Amino acid sequence: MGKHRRPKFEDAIAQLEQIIENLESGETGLEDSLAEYEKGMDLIKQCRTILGTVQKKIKKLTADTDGKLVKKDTNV
Amino acid sequence: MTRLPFDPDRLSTPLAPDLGSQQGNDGAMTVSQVALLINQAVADAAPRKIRVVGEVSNFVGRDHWFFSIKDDQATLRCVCFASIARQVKAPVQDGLTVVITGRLAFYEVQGHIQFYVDKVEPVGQGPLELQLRVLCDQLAKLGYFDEEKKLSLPAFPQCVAVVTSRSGAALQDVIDTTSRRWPGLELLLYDVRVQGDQAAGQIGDAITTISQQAAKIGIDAVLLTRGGGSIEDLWAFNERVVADAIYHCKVPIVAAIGHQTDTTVAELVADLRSATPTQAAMALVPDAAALMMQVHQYAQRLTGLLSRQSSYAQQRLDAVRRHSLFRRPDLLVNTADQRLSDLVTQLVRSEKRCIEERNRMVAALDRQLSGVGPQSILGRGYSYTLDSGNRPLKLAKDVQKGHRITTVLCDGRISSIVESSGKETLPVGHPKQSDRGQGDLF
Repeated sequence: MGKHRRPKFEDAIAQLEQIIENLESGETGLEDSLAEYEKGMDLIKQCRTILGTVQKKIKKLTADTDGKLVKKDTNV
Repeated sequence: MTRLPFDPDRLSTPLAPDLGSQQGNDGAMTVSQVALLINQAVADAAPRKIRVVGEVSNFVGRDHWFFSIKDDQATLRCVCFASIARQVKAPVQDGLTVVITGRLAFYEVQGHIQFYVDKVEPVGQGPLELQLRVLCDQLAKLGYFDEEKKLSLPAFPQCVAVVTSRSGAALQDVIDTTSRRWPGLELLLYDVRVQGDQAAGQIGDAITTISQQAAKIGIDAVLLTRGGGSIEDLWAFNERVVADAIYHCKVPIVAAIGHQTDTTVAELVADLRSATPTQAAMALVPDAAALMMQVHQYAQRLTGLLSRQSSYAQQRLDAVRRHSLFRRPDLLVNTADQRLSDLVTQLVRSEKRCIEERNRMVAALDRQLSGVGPQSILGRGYSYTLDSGNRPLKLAKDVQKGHRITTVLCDGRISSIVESSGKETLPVGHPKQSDRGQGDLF
């Protein structure tokens, strides 16, 4: 796969799943579990914010004279 | 050919060659003259432009094409010069049914009538389907369709470029679907022609440009789409230039071209083919509502896990607190105290035993020592003598007459003056004579 900018949502979900796996393993002590829980709830808050993002307008891609792509507003 | 295609009796005199100047001895025409006749007759009889349908056979094509066209009763020789042959898109081969457009003429050098082709059109399924089949064979051999070369789609794209016509219905389907599933997704439209001569070039350029600049702009995937149409309408998506652009694209491409029954080369090369623009958008864009539910479930699981762990820790604490050590800590002290007391008692007894043991040992040694000491020997009737310097006297020759000596017995001392001294002569058999190993008293 080419090099992509890794979306925050994907990162957050991946970390969240890892935290749950760690807690389910039973190998985490109580203090560490509390810390992981807080971190997990922060990630959940991030995910909810991303999912609740308002709709973005569609933009048009055009190439300028140098062939560089630019985004422009469109009435599509 | 068994008969001429013209009636020589109908030839008008001006067209007939001047036989008087050229005929041979017997008045016969030359071959060239006959050829000229035939050529003229053909030109008169046949239309200037003819369209002929038949099956290709004996095809030989390098620059110029030479082949025959036939049906079940007749065969016609054909020639297609390179300038025309180059314009024919579909490959011509034996067995192909074609419609050729051109003119008839007599080729006098080889003495036969042949068809000079201006245009070749494969008939029925031939033209575009054949071209498509040939292209697919080429691309398959190059690995364009290999599954292992296809890129995987991003799980949560944030920006998708849509390559399509801004005026097409496909775009609206994509917009409606993506805004319903993930409103926060950024859509970027790259407007291209989706049919016609310029379409393939524009589509190829769009995909190539997006591929080159995707990382900078932040494009996670491309959606290539157009609505339904005839094979000719969709033909741009079967062109090599589009296939190359898709194959070399560095971001994943989902292609949805035409109707569900249409399959174009673009869709075969793309990383994912979808039947419709809506399905393409659904494949690419996750459902935010479903994800929100999943996040909610994660939150519940986290809370549940922590609650269980806390509860377990509390149970363990309660169990420990219930232990007698914590309820009656004095027991621990008493036990230790008792233990200490026992140890002290043992220590004292051990010390006493030890001292008694040592005392017995000392007493025994004392007895041993007394047994071998000089006082014990004196008690048995022995004595020892000291000279005037209180030194033990061992030899008689060490004193002389008049010396003072002291004799020590078990109960005291006797002081004496030596009257005489010398070696004692013992009788034979006296025990003292043989006793040489008694050892010194001192």
